[in-house]
Amino acid sequence: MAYLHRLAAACAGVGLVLGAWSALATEPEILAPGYKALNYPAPVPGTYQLPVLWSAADGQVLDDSGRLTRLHALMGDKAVVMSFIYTRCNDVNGCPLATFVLSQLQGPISADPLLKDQVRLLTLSFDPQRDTVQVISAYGQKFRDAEFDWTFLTGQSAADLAPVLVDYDQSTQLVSGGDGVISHVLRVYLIDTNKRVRNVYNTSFLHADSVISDLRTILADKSSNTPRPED
Amino acid sequence: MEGLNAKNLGAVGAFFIGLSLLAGAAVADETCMSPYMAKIVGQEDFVYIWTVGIEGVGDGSDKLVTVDVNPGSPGYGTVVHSVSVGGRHEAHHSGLTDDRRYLWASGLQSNQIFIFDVHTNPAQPSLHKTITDFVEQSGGVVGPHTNYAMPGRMLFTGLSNAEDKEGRTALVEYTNAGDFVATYWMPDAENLRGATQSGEFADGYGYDVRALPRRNVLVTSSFTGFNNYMRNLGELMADEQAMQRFGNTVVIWDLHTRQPRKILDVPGAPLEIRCAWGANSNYCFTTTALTSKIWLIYEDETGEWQAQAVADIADASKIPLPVDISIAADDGLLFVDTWNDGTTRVFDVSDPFSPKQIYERKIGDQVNMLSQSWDGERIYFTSSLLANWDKQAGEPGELQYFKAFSWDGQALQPGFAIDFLAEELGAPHQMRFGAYALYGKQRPTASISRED
Repeated sequence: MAYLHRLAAACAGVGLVLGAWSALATEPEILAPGYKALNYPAPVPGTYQLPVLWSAADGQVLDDSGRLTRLHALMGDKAVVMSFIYTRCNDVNGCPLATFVLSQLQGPISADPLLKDQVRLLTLSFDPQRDTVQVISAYGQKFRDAEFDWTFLTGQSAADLAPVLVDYDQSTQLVSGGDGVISHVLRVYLIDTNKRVRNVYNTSFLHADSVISDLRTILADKSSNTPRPED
Repeated sequence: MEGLNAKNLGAVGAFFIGLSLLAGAAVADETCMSPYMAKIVGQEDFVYIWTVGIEGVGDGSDKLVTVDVNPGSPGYGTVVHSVSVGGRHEAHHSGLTDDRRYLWASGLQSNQIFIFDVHTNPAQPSLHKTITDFVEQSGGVVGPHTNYAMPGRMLFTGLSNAEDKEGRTALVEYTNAGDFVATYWMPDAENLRGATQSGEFADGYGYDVRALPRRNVLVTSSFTGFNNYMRNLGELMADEQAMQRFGNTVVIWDLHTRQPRKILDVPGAPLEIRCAWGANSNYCFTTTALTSKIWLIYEDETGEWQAQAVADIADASKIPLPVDISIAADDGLLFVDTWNDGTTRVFDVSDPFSPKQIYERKIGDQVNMLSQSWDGERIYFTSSLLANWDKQAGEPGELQYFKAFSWDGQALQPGFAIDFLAEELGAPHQMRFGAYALYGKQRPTASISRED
């Protein structure tokens, strides 16, 4: 739980959720399910369907070495778990949760022959003004296991990223007078090997055990590896 | 976050709780919407009312009516906007997407789904998109009812099917963009679809849906099919055979996999479902329209989901017809509207196994939906149930109305009311809240004018 303590320290004094601005400022802190053991059995891989939601859009991004590249190139032929964050996010159940859960995926993926070398993690900042390549790179180094396939990304500009956010239905809003706070719905995306979104997770729903089950489900599903005619 | 506090945000006129809101972390329900959704925790600016068109009343079409409910606004207490969708579709329920940018509103007769943009200008929603192929896309589901937000998606309950237009139906899922995703048929006696039938009934009917993410559970209830809900109420109630074709079940689903787990007997048409918000409160309430009871749907100490009738609502022999319900901020109160006598009743449900009625008040000649603010201080009511079931005569202003009350913890105090017939709007049904602050906007200083 050292990570959690680090998050808690980072969030000290700012409250748990954005609602802490309001009358709920005194509400006790309740951590998202993703920080704890799943309190129900994880879904059994292969016993359920994950219908295609939409095609994962392409877009121009900067990787953590400053190289200009595209999302589709980064996705390649891997199954992808992708989060949208900004590093100054101080809502422990927001962006830090996404990064925490993705960090928790690394061990199980590396240990699973079905998943090892088949899954790629992507974390894209939607705050390119503050999250420069240097910032996002330093952020990523705190959470990425050595040699694990997890790339931290940012954009050249907000305008550059805008169509990507639209395509992924990731709305963001700079809070007026909020000292750089960006209000947004937390979303993490499961993307199959044909660049199709197969699940969307939010705060109530995001847990490493569930994501692992979903990864096993889509990688064992041969139809996931067959492009649809329209693709 | 220095400088961000309730005081200086007060200029915005409303607060909203963080978009990473935890299901179970909330302290109130704000009209019992999806736990996945951002919530308005201060003063709402608008109530959006999905309104049934009535022939000869205004343009006769279904419409989304926007009422200004912010006491600090010059438009307070008035209709500030309405947008007609053209034609009558049996406007019924509506729901916001998880990011609250769009309001989806469906028609039980035409099976069309209207998606309104409520974020570009919260005072003037605009029709963004219409889904016209719900039946075809879903594989024969009829009567899109509950519009329920999931992460990046909208989940619908159906009420019926295209084959026989009776009650067998399904859940249908769309992306927020309005693209069809999947259909999940309700389990019935012919095909349990992996569910366990725990009692006498397995009817495959549908009505409402609610999620308890912390327990990975979806709960659905059951009403009746197109043949019944589109029929004149008097004729229907005189038809003994037709009256047999109402739902008697609640189904517990696996939320993650969308697979049905268990069918519970809840006889008498269980309608609205409201789940408790407490972090360890693994239960939901529903009420049965035909038997006038409150039922508790709960997870027992062994992890099994059960159903138990826990209270009577008024005198069942007089057919009060419980309709909408609303669970209060701390899971302590349950408001129950009974349509036929136009009355709302408040039950103390602090012991969910033993609700006690503590208050009642007649709201109008008929009453259906109610929505309460996040803080539980403001309660709004509308009158309409179904076009062919609504009463046709009543006192002026008491038949088809929107009424605003405040709740002081003991009693309802009347605020303002809008006569939807006098205003030539129609029959108001479901309400959803809007606020400028959700979208980082402030109320324009220019005067607000009504645009039809």
